[in-house]
Amino acid sequence: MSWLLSLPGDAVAQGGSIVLAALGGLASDAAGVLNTALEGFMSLGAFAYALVAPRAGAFAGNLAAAGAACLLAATIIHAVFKLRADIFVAGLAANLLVQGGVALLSWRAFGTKGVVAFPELLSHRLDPGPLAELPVIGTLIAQRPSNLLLYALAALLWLLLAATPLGLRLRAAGQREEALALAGVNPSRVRFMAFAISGMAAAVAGAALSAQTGAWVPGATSGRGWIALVAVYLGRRKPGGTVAASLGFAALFAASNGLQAFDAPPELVLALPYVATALLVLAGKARLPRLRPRDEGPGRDA
Amino acid sequence: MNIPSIRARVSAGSLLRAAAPPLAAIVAGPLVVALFSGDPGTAIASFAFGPVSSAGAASAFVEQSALLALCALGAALAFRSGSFNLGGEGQLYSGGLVAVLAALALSSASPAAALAAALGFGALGGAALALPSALGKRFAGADVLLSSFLVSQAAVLAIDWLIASPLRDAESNLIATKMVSRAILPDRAAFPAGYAPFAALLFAAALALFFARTGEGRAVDLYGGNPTFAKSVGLPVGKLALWPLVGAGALHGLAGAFIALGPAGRAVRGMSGGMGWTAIAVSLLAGNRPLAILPAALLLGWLDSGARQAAVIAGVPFDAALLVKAFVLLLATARLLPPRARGGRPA
Repeated sequence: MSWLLSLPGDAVAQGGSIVLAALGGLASDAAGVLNTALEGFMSLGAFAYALVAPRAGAFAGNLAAAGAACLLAATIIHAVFKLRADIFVAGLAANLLVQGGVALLSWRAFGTKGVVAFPELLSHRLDPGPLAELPVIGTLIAQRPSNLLLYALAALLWLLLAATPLGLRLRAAGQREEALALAGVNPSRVRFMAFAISGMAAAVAGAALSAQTGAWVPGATSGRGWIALVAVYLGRRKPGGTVAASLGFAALFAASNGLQAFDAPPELVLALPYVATALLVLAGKARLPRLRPRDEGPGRDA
Repeated sequence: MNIPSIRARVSAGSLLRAAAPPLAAIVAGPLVVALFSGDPGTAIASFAFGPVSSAGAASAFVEQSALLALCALGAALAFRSGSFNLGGEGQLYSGGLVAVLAALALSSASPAAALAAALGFGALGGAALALPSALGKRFAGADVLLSSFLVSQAAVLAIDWLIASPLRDAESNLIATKMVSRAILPDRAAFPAGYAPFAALLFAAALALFFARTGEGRAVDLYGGNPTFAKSVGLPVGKLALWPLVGAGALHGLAGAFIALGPAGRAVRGMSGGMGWTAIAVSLLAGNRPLAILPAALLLGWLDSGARQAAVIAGVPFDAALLVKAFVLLLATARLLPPRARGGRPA
């Protein structure tokens, strides 16, 4: 029963990375560029943080994650807008690139492709003091600072999308490209910015995964980037809906973690969020848009 | 959907576009392995010539390429029908496990019948995993890109558990199922690369004929290119939303069956090894054309086999191949000349 009481707190702990990555995906989607590389950006961020933070501190680790994401975003955008590669395929290629690249760099930097622990990296939970005894409240307060940073960044990103001139430009790039061009703004540049923001958000979300475990764990993202992408469309491409869907998925992750206490097979427990997400997608509750830089490619759903 | 026509006018742009991804693989492959090796010369040599350095290595290379081609034929079938199937990895894994279970259950049958049935069940195992996405697309307009990936991920985890726990062979050091009867496995003296190359050739020819010569093939292309138009001219769009994706799953499942009934003779945990993803690159590299898939599969098969040889001989991590595949995938849909240079055809 105790795991049920700690579920809200665990969901908040699990949710930061999904919420920020999903809002990043929304920023890109708003500008008309679908980011299928969120998973790769998260992995890249987690690795860049583990590489830099032990030497230069957590702030530099997050900066490295964001910087690496910018480089990857520039590569993808160059392929899509200059070489006119298909955006979906370019995203998949970026995921492969990161998967292979971080394995090679991990082998070169750490001498292994496996888990590398950095105890000093661990972002410790806040002490709720006497409130720790209270059910639900105690675990809700005992969050890691790295996780709270994610929620703060998510709030800023929401604000940026909803209430700033840049947010307006991003939406215009996706919906009224001609109006943007008439106003003297280059839509392609705005799209690149949106994609870079999306990648940076996902990378910082990935960096927090390394901070939360105090280690570089290959595959630590466990499909969270894809689930963040589903959250964007399950949330009807609105910031509020996206955050709500992300927190719902975070609750699923938290519940599946809780089930491990009952000796449930870890593989089946890990499969639960995918099963639940797949059921929602199969029911037609989350559909990708048909917006794309050019109307060609390997084929899309009807 | 962009389906290059065989009769399309050959221009500098189309030649460059076709040549860039394989050239990238040929140039980037050796460069990447050299970069991550203490002995670049050995690494490059083992990468370039390792796949054909011995009869055994060459057989493994051909078999690997054939398996890749089978998966890529499935990917092409789905792509041409407008479904971006990202679930190949799970479909392959499912096919492998189901084939082994069938072979174990049919151990008393004649070897030929048991093998045929096991391969058939393997194809069914892959098809069954593609079916939810196809039904979701048909009846709820569900997005195949997302649904196929999510179903596949869940299935991979579930199959991992099945192989590691209830179906595990306790007497083996491998995390694997029991071994099937040796009698149903290919005679490696007579068929060093197994039966997969024959299946790849057969299905490539059949699919090429299907798309080029049959009305149903043209209907699949038409539906994939413009489903609204396909509906308006009275094509059975409900059927076209379903069977190509299920067929794609079956081809992935068949490849999985060949893997499991290959040298290992059992379902080994993680046996899909990323082949479902590589198959997407092969299919795109070949422009989703069945016959072009064969050389494209040989190219990426060489990349995998070369990287494996470089890993064994020169200690270069196998992941070097992933980097090169990513470049190939990135370039596979790119257009490398501006519209005017391509004859001014609008994008």
